[in-house]
Amino acid sequence: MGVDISGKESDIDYRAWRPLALEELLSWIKLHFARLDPAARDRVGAYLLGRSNLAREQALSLAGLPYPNRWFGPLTAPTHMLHPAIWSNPESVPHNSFVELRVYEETWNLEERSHDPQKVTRVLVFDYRK
Amino acid sequence: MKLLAPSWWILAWDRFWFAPGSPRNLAGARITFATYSLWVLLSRNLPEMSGLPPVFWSQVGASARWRYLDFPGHPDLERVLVWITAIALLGAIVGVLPRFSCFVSGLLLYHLAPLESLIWIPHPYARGLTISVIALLTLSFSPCGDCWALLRPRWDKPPAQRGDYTWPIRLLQLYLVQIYFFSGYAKVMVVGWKWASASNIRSWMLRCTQNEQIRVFHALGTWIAARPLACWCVGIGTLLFEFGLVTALFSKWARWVLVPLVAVFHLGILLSMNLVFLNVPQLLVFANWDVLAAWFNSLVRHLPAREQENALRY
Repeated sequence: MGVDISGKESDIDYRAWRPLALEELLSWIKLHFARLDPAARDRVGAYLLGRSNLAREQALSLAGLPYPNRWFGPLTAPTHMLHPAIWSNPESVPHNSFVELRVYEETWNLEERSHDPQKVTRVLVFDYRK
Repeated sequence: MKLLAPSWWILAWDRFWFAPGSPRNLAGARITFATYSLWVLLSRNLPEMSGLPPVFWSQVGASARWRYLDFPGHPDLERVLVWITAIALLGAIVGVLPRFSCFVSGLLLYHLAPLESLIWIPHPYARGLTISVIALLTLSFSPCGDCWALLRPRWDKPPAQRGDYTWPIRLLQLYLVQIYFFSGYAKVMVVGWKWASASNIRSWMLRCTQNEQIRVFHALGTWIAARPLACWCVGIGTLLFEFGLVTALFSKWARWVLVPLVAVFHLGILLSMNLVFLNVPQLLVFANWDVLAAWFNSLVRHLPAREQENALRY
């Protein structure tokens, strides 16, 4: 989640992390992030925050967030898991810069959530502030 | 009794690998695998993975780096290698030094493909290029340029036996079929036959449609999850497909029925679970390109005749 100066949290489009695929990044965070020292974690945070702000600006531009291959466009080969392109519409893109990045781990009970989509437990794994 | 005779097994083995084959099928496989690999390669930003901040590479062991010769901090070099691979794949598609092109692209993809996931796992399974590597290398050792090729080296003579067109195709089919077989095998070994139960399939459907990170399609998944009978059908059908596709290696009937059904099966997985199996186009290795080419030729031959008829009509 990106956090702007007013403290508002926003989801970040999966294309922001390119060249990293979202599932590769999440797996890396899950496996290796905890082993890093605080300075290394901050370097990761600074890089990811930079990527998310760059992507946010691209998504707000007329051209929009580019596909990994501009010639293939929407015919670009997807990754093993599909991801929703939440910043395809400029209206859904946050207008303020992110100053903070938060990584949450979400857990839920499948049956409970099938009745109530909001039944999710979130635990803050990492918080980086510029 | 016939099955117990060693001579029957030797003949069956020979028939499987070296029955007279068509150069068109092999050329079709070359074009299919090269086109597919080019599509996946150019859809990824692999050179930039080498240019990630060093902290991302800090947990990658020396064995993984040396195994694939993948090292951080060389995005420009990787970019050059991607272009060489793309040119070699184009060469394989149009048939310019086809065997050499397949060899170069296969070798370079072995180096490039792991870049996608190496920061956390040293093998790039299910990311689209694993089968391509071994398939392109296999093609490079076969007479894959005897048909549909623009430029063949002079020393590359057609094989004396048409059986040489069959074994590479069989190997490529085997590479594909084993994915399904071992996928089923892993399910049964790790979870047991209860993997196919309605409750397990319901959990998978719910997991894939509730996770907001991958929730692109959700109507079909939630529809299946709400119906135990549909869940049972998906579970049993999946295991039947995964274990049954092996028969496509031996039976023409299975090729005609199962291979198209597997493509539909993947479409179902995509729409219900948001999971993509990129290798689906590689199933064209089961196609009979002689039949397809004959059909296409008859279509082209009939086209001018029809145009003439239309011209006379007006």
